[in-house]
Amino acid sequence: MAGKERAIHALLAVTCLLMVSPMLWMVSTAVKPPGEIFAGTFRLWPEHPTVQNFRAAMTQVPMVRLFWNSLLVAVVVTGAQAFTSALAAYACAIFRFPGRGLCFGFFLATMMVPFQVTMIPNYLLIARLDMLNTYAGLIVPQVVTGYGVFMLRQTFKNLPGSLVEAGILDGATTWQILWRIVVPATRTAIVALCVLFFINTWNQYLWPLLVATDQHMKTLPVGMQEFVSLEGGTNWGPLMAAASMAIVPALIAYVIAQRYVLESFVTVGLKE
Amino acid sequence: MTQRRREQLTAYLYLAPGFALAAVFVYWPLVASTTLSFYDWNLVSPIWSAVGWQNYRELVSNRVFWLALVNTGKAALAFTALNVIAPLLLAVAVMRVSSRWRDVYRVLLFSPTVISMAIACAVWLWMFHPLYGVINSSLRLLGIQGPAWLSSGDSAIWAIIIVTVWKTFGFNFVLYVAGLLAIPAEMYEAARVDGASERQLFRYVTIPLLAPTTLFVLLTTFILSPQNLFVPTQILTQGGPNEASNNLGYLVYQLGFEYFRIGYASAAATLVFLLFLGLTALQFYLAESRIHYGR
Repeated sequence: MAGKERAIHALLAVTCLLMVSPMLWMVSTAVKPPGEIFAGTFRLWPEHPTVQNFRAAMTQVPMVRLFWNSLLVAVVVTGAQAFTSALAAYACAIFRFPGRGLCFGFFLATMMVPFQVTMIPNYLLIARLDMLNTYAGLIVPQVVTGYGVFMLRQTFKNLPGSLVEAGILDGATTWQILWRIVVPATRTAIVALCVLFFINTWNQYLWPLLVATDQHMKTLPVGMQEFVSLEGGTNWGPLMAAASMAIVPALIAYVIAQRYVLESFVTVGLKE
Repeated sequence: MTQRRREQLTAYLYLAPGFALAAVFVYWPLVASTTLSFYDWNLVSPIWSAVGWQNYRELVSNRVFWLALVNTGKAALAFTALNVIAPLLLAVAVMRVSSRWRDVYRVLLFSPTVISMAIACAVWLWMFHPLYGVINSSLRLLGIQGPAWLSSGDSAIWAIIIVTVWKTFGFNFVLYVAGLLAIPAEMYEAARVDGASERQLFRYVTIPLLAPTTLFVLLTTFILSPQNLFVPTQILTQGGPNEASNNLGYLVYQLGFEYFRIGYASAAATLVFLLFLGLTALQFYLAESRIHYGR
């Protein structure tokens, strides 16, 4: 039995190492001087660690501006997605009206549409509205999410009915019930969902690649590709340094909230 | 009566913002994409010419389209093994260890999920470097001459698949762990009292009770596969060498935004949509029949 458990630990540890190794290698390259980067031998921690790659990364692309663009877009999209999801989920979970199932299905089905299918018409629409290279163009097409409506509707449905009834007896409006009773009672799930939205938007690539072509409107993942194939070959050191800096916000968000994320998966369940 | 009327009206008001946005940015594009697929247009010209089924005819007689389809199929098979079945087995394994270790493994396995695919691909581009990359220099330590990963027609699509598996593995793993935690312990106890073996527990308790999670994992893995394949393809190979690593996720982008053939790209997008709609329906159908009539 103990041997069996040791085998399980070994299996899991090896898988974890494989998963984490690209991050280790990224940081390792980021602190190596050029001579050691191109040594062609395997060495995790350099002989002469350096921060010169980080300095180069900051000067070769407008890192601060890219960072700000990513942050602004991610925060606004997260807030807007949470807002529209909460409203729609509230209606689908608490109210009774004709076509309720159909409405929920309408949101659910948006998850079945691959992004590739909608990207051309959406690009043309944003271009026609003259919103290329604007924050609005980056943000507006993605403020509705079927996943958010789905997750929050499940969460709201699990609330005890007496909670909402108490609000009605107190003479609260539906708007007050939503913001003073339903949302506070489900804040853990909402926080977890917001973390997922934030990470997704922060990491997005294809839509910003199409919409933000202007250097100053690019987001971090798009802007960083400048390092790849600069004249005279890719600047691996600065690229790895920039990558190391770019993953920090998403990692922080994850470390803070990872427990809530799992809990919300467990409690919401994926039934129905 | 009026009370009920008001409740209904309020509900529609709450639905309105999401409804409008989904209509404009998801459902309308579906219609527009289909319409565009019957035109020939280069993105800038004022001239649109209706060409009937010409785009579709050209697509099905294009070698690259079939190559992209085959590569997407290869990816789908790899994802089923490595992103649907392997995470399930690992999630079952992780339930056997103490909860402290379980948390450690879970955090580490999930970590690639929170990193930007584009940034991760820059790192993988470096790792796949034929001379200085860590993969080939490690293989050299073992006395193996690694392939020129990204510039060889045989290995390029597999490099893309490896990156995609690495990136999405943790999410499915965590979904399974959540699904397993939600199975009441009494279910296992009752089965044990009836004398069920470990294998029977897995087969007759875990698998059926985990079916909703498995369906969700399967659906999201397949529906997101064009999207997930796109970024590594664009950054690592641009579909090359000689289109050998092209796939349906990249093809639509390539036709639309590299060759500026909007109608042709829309035809490809429409076919991708119909294909994935069909696969989704098939998965639902199989899942339904298993859950209702299976054992």
